Amino acid sequence: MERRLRKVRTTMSIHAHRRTLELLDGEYASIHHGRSHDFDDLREYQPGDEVKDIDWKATARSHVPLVKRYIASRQHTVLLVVDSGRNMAATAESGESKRELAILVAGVLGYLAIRHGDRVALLMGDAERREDMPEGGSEAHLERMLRRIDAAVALDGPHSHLEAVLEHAVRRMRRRSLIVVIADDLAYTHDLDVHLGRLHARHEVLWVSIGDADLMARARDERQLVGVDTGIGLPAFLRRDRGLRRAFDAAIAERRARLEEGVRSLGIASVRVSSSETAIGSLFRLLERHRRARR
Amino acid sequence: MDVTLLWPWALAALSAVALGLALVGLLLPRRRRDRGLPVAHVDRLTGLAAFRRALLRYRLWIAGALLASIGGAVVAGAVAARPSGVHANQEDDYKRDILLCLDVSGSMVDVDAEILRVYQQLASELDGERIGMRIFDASSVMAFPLTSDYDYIAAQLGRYERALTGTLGPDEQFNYLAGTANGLGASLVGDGLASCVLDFADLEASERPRSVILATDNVVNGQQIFTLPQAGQLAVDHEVRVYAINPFDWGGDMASQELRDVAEGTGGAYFPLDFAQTVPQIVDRVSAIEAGYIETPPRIQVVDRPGALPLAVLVVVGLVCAIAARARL
Repeated sequence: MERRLRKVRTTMSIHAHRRTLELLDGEYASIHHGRSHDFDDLREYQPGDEVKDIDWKATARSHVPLVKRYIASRQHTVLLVVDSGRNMAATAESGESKRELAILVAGVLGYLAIRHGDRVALLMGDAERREDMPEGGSEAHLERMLRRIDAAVALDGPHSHLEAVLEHAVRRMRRRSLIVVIADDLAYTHDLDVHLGRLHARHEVLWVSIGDADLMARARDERQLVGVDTGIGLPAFLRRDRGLRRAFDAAIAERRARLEEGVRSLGIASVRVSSSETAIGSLFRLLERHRRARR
Repeated sequence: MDVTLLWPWALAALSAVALGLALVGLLLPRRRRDRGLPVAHVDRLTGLAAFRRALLRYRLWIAGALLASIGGAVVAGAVAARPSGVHANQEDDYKRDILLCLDVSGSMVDVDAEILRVYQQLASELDGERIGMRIFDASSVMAFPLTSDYDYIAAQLGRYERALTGTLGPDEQFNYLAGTANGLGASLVGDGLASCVLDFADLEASERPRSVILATDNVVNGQQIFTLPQAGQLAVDHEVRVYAINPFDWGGDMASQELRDVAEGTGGAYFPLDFAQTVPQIVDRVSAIEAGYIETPPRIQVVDRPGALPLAVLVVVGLVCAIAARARL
C-alpha cells in the first residue's frame, strides 16, 4: 500500500546517516515562524535547534544540553508545487529519471512535515493541466500524492509550463503556507521572477531544482539523446564537439547562476538535486539555508 | 592509346542509380522517430551559436559524404563500363627453331668457325627463338639441344668456335671431335642431316617454323644409312627447311648440285661460299627468308584498360568511410 512512501523512507535511511535524519528533523522544526509556548517535553539538543529553546536548568541537571519542545499551536500547511510536464519525465543528471528524483524530494519533505504534525497539499501542473490534492496529514495521503505525481508525469504528456502553475498557486493559495517548488534546470525568465515574487510575498517558498542531464558526450558516452520537447535527436557528432562542449559548459553554468541568483534575490532558498544519493544532503542544506535566510 | 567504353550503358545506369538513391534519401520524408534517452531543456544546447555552427559543419560533412558517394558510384560506373583498348600480340608460337648442323670433317673447320661466330653475335639479339647445334662427321653428336638460354648458347658457340680454331684456353680443353668418328667413312652428310632433322624434339606438337643451317661440302666418303635426298625427304616430311652452305662449290659438280637440289627441295636455299658471299651475308639472307615464314599477322585483342579508376574508387570509398567515422553517420 505504501510503496512509494516506503521507498522514500528507505532512501532516506540508506543515504542519510541517522544523525543527518535527526538533523533534518531539527532543521524542519525550526523553519516555521511563530510557535506556541505550550511546553511539551525536553529532548537532547541537536545542532540547528534554536539556542533560545535550550532549557538551561534542565541542562544543568542532566549535563547534556536539552531543548524545550512545544506543542505546535497550529498546523502548518506545506504545499508541494510540482511540474508535471514531460520535462519531468526526462533523464536527470545522475542518469535516473527526473520523476523519481522529484518524487523522492516531495516524499522526504512531505514525510518530515507529516511527522511534525503538519499538513501537506499538492499542486501539479503543466501547459494543459492543473491537478491538486487537498491538504492532508496522514502517510496514506502522502502516499496517494506521490502516486499521483508518478502517474501524471509521462514522456508523452503535455509540455512543461511552470510559470503558469506558479501563477495559479498565487491566485489559489490564500492561506499562508510553506511552498516547495519542485522544478528543474529551467531558464530564469521574467514571468518566473514575477510569479515567484508574488508567491514569496504571501508564503514561505523553497525552491528545488532537479538537475537535468548533461547534453554533451563525455568520456566515450555513446548514448543517443532525444529532446523531450521536440522528439528530435541530438547527433552524436555534435555532442562530441570540443568547442561546442566549452560553449555549452559556459552557457549552462551561466543559466544555473542566473536561476540561483534570481531566486536568491527574491529571498528564496534554493538547492539543486542531482541524484538520489545526494538528495538528502541537498535538502538538508536547503532547510538550513531557509532558516538562515529568514533571519 | 585510345580507350573506348565497351559497355557505356553501365556508366549511365550506375550514375542514374546513385543519383536516384541520393534523391530518394533526400526527398523521402523522415519517418523514423529518434530513439534514445529523453532529456529536457534541449534548448540549453540548441540555443547556442556554437551549436548552429557545429550543425552547419555536420551538414557539410554529410553533404561531402553524399557527394563523395555519388562521385564514387560514377567512377565505379566508369570501371563497370569497361574502358578498353586494342592490343596487338605477337604469339610466341611463331618464333622459329634453328638447328646448326655442321660438318666437322677437316675441310670444313674454317667455315664452321665462321658460322659459329656469326650465330654467336645473333644469339645476343634473339628473343623467343631456340637454337641447337649438332656436329657430324662419320657419326653425329649433339653439341647442345634446342634451347632459348642465350647465355648458354653463346657460351657453347664460343667454346666450339675456339675449339675449331684451336684457341681453347688451358682449362677448357676438350676434344670436339669425340664421337664423330663412329661410322664407316667420313663426312656422312645424309646421316648428319637426317639426325639434325630428327633433333626437333616436338616434331608433331610444335607450330614453330623449323630450319637447319647445314654447312657441308657434300663430299661423302663411306657408307651412309640415309642418302642426302632421303634425308632431304625426311626434312620435307617434318616441314624443316634446310639452308645449305657449301664452301667448295666448283660450279656444276655433282655433289654441289645434289646439295642445292635437296636444300631447295625442302623450301630452303643453297649458298655457295665464294667471293660474292661471306658467311654473315648468307646468315642475313637466311634470316630474311625465314622472316617471311614467321611474319604472321599479330593477334588483335581488346583488353580492359581501367587505368587508375579502380584505385580512385578505392580512395573515394575510403574517404566516405572516413567521413562516416568522423561524423558518426
